[in-house]
Amino acid sequence: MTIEVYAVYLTVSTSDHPVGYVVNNIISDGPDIDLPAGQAAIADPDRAYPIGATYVAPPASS
Amino acid sequence: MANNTFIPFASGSTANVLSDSDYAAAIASGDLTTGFVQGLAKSAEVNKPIRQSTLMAAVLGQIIADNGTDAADSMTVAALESALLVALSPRSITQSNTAGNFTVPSGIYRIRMRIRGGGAGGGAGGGSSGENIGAGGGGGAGGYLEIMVPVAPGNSVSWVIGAGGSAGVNGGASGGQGGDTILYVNSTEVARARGGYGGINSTAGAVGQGGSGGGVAVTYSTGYLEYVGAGGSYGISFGGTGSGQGGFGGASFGFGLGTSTGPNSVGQNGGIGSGGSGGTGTSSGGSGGNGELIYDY
Repeated sequence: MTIEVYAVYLTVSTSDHPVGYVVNNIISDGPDIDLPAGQAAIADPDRAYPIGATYVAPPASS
Repeated sequence: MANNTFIPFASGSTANVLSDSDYAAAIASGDLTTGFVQGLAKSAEVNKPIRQSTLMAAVLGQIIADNGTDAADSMTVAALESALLVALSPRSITQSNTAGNFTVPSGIYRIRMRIRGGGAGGGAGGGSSGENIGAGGGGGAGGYLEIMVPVAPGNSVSWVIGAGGSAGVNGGASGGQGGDTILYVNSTEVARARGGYGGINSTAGAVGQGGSGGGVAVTYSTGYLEYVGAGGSYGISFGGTGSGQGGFGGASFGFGLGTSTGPNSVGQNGGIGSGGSGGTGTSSGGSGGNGELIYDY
């Protein structure tokens, strides 16, 4: 199990920020992270998404 | 499952006992302060103190049983006292550097949490080789919080750990902000230790500003202590092309200050919750240290 950095981003816009806005950088040993509704995490080992950046989720494959 | 054989007496809703007010009045009048003496006693007056004492005995016995030890009136006073003290003592202490969760076990209604946010990254030096030496600012430390959290058995306690901020890169981004360490009970945030703010990159012959420390936020607790993280310092320029000193990363208690000196020195990485120090010359700053969470109950 690899411990790495995850970027936590909004999946629902708030009064302050749009969808995709990165609100936190956290450490986890896996993707199953308990987060509040409206947030999701993506592994970010290269630190491409610091707090304040925008993560754009890739389109779902058909 | 351990057994508790201390059982309340006369516990039914129609039990033949004095009401609380009548019992208090009887005590206050002095009629019962010497206890019963020779003669007939009213059964309701006898039953009332038996119910009160056996009820509390049952409570204490259940605390012992919930901790895994049988509670019975065949035990000695010393054995019961020992079992009760063990049941009331903290059972475990756990430290975590990654996101996690657990379910509150039976008998636990308060948990002490100590959390700190991620330290920020230090700023890079500045300029190119041959230019006057610049020195980046140190990253700020994460905030620290110690709190008593009210919980109930079966509650879900979870948390995320703030990552240390990324190091500043010469010609690129300054030191990154540390992540927040956040505590949730049943998916509702109850406390947060914020990450420190990043140290600023320098430019040739100049110095970068240190980042400020992270703060804290408490939504729900029975008591807490809070400390804002220490800020990073400015870089220090020695002038010319000889050398410079990167700004000190903010220290989180238990972890010291870091700094690097030289013409092209990479900043030092911060310890847990601490800021990375600034780099000098063409070199990057140091990364911030990850936050952590410690709990006991």
